[in-house]
Amino acid sequence: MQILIVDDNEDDVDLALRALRETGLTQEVFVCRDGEEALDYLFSRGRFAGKPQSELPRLVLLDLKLPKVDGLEVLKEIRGNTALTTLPVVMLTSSSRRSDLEAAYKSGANSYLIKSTDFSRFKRDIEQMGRYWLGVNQA
Amino acid sequence: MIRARYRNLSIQKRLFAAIFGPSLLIVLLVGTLVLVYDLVQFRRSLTKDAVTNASIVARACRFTLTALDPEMDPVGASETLYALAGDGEVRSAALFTMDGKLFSQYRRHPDLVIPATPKEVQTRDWFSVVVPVTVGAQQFGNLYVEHSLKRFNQRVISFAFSVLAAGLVLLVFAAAMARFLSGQFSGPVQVLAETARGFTRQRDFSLRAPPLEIPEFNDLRLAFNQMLQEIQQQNAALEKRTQQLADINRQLMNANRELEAFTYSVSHDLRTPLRAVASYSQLAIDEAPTDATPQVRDFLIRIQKNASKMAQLIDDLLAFSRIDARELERKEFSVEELVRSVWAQLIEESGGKAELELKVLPPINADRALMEQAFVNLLSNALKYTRPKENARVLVDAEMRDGQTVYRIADNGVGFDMRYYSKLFGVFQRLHTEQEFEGTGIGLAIVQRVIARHGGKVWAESELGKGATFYFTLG
Repeated sequence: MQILIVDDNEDDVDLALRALRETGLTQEVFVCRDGEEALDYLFSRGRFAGKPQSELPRLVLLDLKLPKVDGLEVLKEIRGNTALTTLPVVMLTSSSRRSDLEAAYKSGANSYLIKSTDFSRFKRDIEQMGRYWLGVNQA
Repeated sequence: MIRARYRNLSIQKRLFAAIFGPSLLIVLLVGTLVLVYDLVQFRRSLTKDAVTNASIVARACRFTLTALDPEMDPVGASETLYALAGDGEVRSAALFTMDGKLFSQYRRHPDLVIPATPKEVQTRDWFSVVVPVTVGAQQFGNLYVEHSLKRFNQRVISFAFSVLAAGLVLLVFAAAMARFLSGQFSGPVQVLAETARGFTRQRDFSLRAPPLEIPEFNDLRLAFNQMLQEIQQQNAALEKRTQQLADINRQLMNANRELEAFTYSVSHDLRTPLRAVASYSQLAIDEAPTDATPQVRDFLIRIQKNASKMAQLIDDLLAFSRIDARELERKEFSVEELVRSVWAQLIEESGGKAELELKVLPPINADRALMEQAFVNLLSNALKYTRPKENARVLVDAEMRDGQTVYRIADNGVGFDMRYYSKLFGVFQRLHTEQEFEGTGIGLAIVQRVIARHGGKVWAESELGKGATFYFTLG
């Protein structure tokens, strides 16, 4: 398992998966639809109680606006756990709001990406981001 | 110097000087006049008395010198002279014959010297009179009498002491009067000052000066209290107004915050479906089977184009609303540098060929991020509208006008029709078609908001085909 996508919008998830596939990042991807599910997954609890704790994704693509537990809360939980210290978290959101950006970095985000309306551009952004975090970056 | 020293004199000292000065002058003047007059009179009467006495004695012993007196007795004469001593002021007396010989004499002290010839002398300590000794019309000798001035001198001294004592009494009186009067004058002044101090320092606006004794001061107090009342009322009105303004300001800020939050959530929520529309139409175009009708393809292209356009509109609207959401952070920086970097970035992005003529610009005191947005829009407009021109040129300079720096951004592009000037700075208002020049019409609206937030003004001039010039000032 390489990538965890946390996003509640089906179309956004589909577009992200498409972009990953089309740019040749044929990784194994797991999708969580809300913050709670993402945390359960990462901490092997609830529905994912049987999953070994050591089994972690290499990269998390996290939306800000999520049902139940929002993206910032998820991020803070991740950063509050020593086992997940080196887990790269890239925010993938449609908000260009300065305060959202600052809050994300303050809470420990590794990168902040705005989902482009232009699919070609979105694809290019996903490709560059994926290549860096999965290829170049050491975690 | 003296004048400056007088300016700083207290009321008490001024009053003392005013009372004591003239009084002392009068005492000295009157005292001196009385003294001189009295002494002259006294001295005159002394002389007169001395002459009278001497005449009586001369008459008593007239026969001693005449041949009619067979005795010619100097001793008898001496006794007569001795009688003169009854007057304590007589120091000595002598009887001289006609031929100048001393016939008989009397001296209170043996040290006293009788002059060889009788003459009238005036000294500080004594004076002498000489009277003829006559029988009928014939003179037989002279009587010389010397009077002491001891009593007279004592009188002079006691008189001077009296004047001095009067002066001293006056001094004490003047000091007491000055003290009393200054208390009367400065007391009310201090009361007023104390009230004013309490009023301003402790901000106790209910303070009023208490009633004062002297009518003029009381008048002043009434006027003063009236003024305080006026201030109290104005202050109350001001505080009320300030409170109202603060309330309104709070309401406005809340409304503004809500509006901003609304704009953001709307734009976020709008963008998500829009992204799906734009992206899937793009995917449909890319992956459409080759046998899809050209019409379907055209529809998909139109959908995709409009979705992109709408995304651009949302981005612009967000950028526009962000200008008001931010706190203004003013500091001094170089506009020249800003213009140069913005220009370089725009040229790189657009691949434009226009030439920039940048004059020396004074440093500006403004919010750098906002000013950058303004210059990005002004300069990108200049680049865009000079695109059809051969020798595209953009000028940026500044000049002083009525004590204000006016910045100018001029181009030789296509310009605009001044008839539509009122629409120039409107949100999403355009003076060119999309086919001529791309854009959403937010750029100049952003420029105007940025300048307005700095308390400045922006305006423009143009002639179709000859370029446009934009001016702005900052407050």
